[in-house]
Amino acid sequence: MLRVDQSPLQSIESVLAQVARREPESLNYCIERYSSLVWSLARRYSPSQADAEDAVQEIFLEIWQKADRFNPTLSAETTFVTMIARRRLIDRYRKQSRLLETTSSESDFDEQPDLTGSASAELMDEAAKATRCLDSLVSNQRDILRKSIHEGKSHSQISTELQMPLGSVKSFARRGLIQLRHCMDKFSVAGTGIAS
Amino acid sequence: MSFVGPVDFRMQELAAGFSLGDVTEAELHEIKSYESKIFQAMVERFEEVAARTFLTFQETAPAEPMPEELSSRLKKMAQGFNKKSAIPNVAKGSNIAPPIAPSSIGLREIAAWLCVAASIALVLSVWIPSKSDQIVSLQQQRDRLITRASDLVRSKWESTAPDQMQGFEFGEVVWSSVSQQGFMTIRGLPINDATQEQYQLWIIDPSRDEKPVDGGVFDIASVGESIVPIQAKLRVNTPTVFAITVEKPGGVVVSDQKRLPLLAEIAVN
Repeated sequence: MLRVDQSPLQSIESVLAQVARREPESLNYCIERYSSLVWSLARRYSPSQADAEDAVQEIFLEIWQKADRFNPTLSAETTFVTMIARRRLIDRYRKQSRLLETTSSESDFDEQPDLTGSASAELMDEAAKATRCLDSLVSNQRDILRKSIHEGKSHSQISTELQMPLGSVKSFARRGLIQLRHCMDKFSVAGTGIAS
Repeated sequence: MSFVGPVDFRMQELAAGFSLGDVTEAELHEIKSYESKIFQAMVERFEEVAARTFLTFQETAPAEPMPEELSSRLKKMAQGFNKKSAIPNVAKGSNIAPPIAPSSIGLREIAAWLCVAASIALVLSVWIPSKSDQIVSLQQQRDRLITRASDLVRSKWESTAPDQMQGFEFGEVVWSSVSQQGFMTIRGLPINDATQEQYQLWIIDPSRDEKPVDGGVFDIASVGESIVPIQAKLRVNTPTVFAITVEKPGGVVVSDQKRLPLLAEIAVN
């Protein structure tokens, strides 16, 4: 279960607002609260530990920079943070893909971490909103989206892994995401209003 | 969020692919045929869906505590960020970005809300491991951008004191709005002492909101040609002017434009 650290003096809704106001210690609170989430994302989307560490630094800088754009009436902080992190990681992946001839899935991470920690109520709430929509997908779509979005694998990697034509993987992934969007719209899950 | 006009399914597919990091060069070209703001809004919505989906899968995933050493580095970086960044014009308690000002706004006013990230390049420079490797890489990245970006715009730098610098070539700027990537090649700017002053890039894109986008703070460390990646802090759609100012270390919130050595204007078709 994802562990989200929390200072006892910190209310769960207000970290980004405090960062935006440059309140003392707010950046440290932000690091403590979202380090596990951002690190989880960076690990999955990065080819090496060194690359993941670089990515994490860039992501936190961007979170601090864009903290004033977070609107709590539109989304949860976790969604906002995850969006920024994924966008940055995908940008890095695109740039690396342009430079590298290979798209190796090899990772230099040593091992999977232990099952420790406790769940965040906010994360659980965010996740609950999407669970019903994910359940509505056919199993192929769900598996491909899991590998793409959660495990950070490229579609060509997924194609090899599932022995499925690349075009089919792309189609399943894209249409699955479109279906999820329609489903979440139906359940009135609001947008974030985050700007690029 | 709702989309303006009829929703084109192909456009949705491309936006979904873009948000998954999976579009081909040909599809990037195809994306150009769509109205950029509508497409961006669609991509943003899919990014949000993907973020929520990640969180759903993450609910049952193993916890992954960040390495202590990295956490310590981040906290040191936070100290530097706080010292070097000015407080933007955000009212206490407000989470909404400042409103867009009228079109008559100049560089002085327009920079006010932009510049939190002005110190990022300086802070990040601490983590860049090998300068020579980076120069090679930047050259390669720039070459590839020029080769592959079908929407590339480029312009030569011009001195703001042309009478004194007639015939001198300062280099150029290249930019692709599709890939949101660009590079400056710069010759002839004086080497700066980063503890005293730094160069700062501004990108003016009237199609956005007529406020220049912070393009990042950078240093000139050697004589000869420097290649500097553009670090646009906001999406740039149709840049018309790139401007370099000289500012205090970390950049400024409001530029007085007293020192604006180079400009590059993009010709409008």
